[in-house]
Amino acid sequence: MNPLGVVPVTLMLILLGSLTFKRINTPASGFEHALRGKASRIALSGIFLTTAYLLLIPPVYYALDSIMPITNATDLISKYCALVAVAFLGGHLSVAYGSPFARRWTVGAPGTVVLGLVSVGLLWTVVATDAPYSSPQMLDFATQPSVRINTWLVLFYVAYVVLPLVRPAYLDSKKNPLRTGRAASGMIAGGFALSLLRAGAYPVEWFGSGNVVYLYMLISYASTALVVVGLALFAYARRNRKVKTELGSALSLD
Amino acid sequence: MPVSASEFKSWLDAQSISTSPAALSALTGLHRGTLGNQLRRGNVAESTVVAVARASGANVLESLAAFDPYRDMYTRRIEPTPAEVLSQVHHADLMAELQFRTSKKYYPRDLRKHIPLIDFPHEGSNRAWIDAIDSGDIRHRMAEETGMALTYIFTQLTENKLTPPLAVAASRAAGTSFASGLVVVGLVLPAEAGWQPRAREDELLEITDDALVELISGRINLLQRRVKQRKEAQEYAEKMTELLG
Repeated sequence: MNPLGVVPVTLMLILLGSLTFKRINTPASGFEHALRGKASRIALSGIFLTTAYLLLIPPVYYALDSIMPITNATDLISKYCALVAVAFLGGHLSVAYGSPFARRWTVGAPGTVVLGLVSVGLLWTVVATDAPYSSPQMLDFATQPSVRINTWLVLFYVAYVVLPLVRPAYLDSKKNPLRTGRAASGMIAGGFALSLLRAGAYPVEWFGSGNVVYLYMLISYASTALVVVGLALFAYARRNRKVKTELGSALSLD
Repeated sequence: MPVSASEFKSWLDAQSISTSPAALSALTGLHRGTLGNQLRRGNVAESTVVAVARASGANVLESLAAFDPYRDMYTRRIEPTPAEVLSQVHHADLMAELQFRTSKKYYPRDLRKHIPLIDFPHEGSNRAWIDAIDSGDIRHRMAEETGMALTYIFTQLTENKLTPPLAVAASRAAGTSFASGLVVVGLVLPAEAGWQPRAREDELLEITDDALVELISGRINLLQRRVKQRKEAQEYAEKMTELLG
């Protein structure tokens, strides 16, 4: 069990789990707002993403994979959870940032077709991998072309969803009247840019070897962390009624 | 329009002031790195010239007039016009004056005897100054003179962030005091530019009733626009925090 593969996943699980729990379990309409209100898809996205990371923790992974019909099917489920999380997030952010193009691209007909194709592709790559035993994230077989395609499919889908959202998020980081909102959107845009960077640099990663793969994975972790912290900042702004406190009366000099 | 570093160094030499960033930092209290950067890049901010002039006891306006963009300073009167002075009175103070004139019984002037007028620059004060000196096409002429886009000038006015070069361009276009523009943007203190110590209070007392009401009416129009913009900003921020929070 390589600590380079376990430690970042565990840290991400802690971050995602705690922020999702905080989002859902907040007094003053937190639960209602998070799961049934306007931001319900964000909470669902957090739940799916947390589940995706939880499944990658070795004890959970091995236990679950032992009852799966295909070796490393747990990795497949984890990736499906991540894809669903990204789709929820993409669809919701496209509405929030007011981009009909991004909405059609992410959760409209083209988005659904791409999600379907990527899901089928992932299943095919897991089946095609020569994996005699379970390995979280299939890291022990990372040099096999099918695993490389598997990774590329996930990176491609994430990049596909975030591509039309980078600009709206960046624009909001400039025009949002709330300082917290500007910081949050800036982090979200930065996270999306990192995702695009990794997807764009995948040809370099493809031919990389050894522990370099962990370095590239750190880019994805950093990207995810930026997006979820950005969303948590929006939640913080809502809970603390920052709009009322920061953007008070236009008449006041104080 | 910052002044050139070579001109600045020559000016410092003429004043017998050291040109080293460390010595200038000790003299003015400005950060040594900032001064070093300005000298190295060849552009020294007007505020640096003003800080050095103040620290060395030199006349601030005369010091600025030693540099190219401000050489015309003394070709016009230095003192502000009454309209310029009144433009720097906050609308709340204008309305207080209206109340004092409305009823000595309900709004006695003594009520705010020891309370000073609201300091400027305040929100909208740059715009109010431009409106006070505008003869019709001042914004276009400012854009022509500075080579800046008209939209940039509008944004600077909306955000109350008029720069010294824009203030000089506005004064040139309107034919008013160059020094007043520099006071309005906060580069020069009123006393350094020939403003009487209680210039605003005095003009407020002297303004006629009809001029006062007209001034308030203009300011209320601006205020209405600002309140509307703030409401839109609040609604946008509220929407974003509700959807993403």
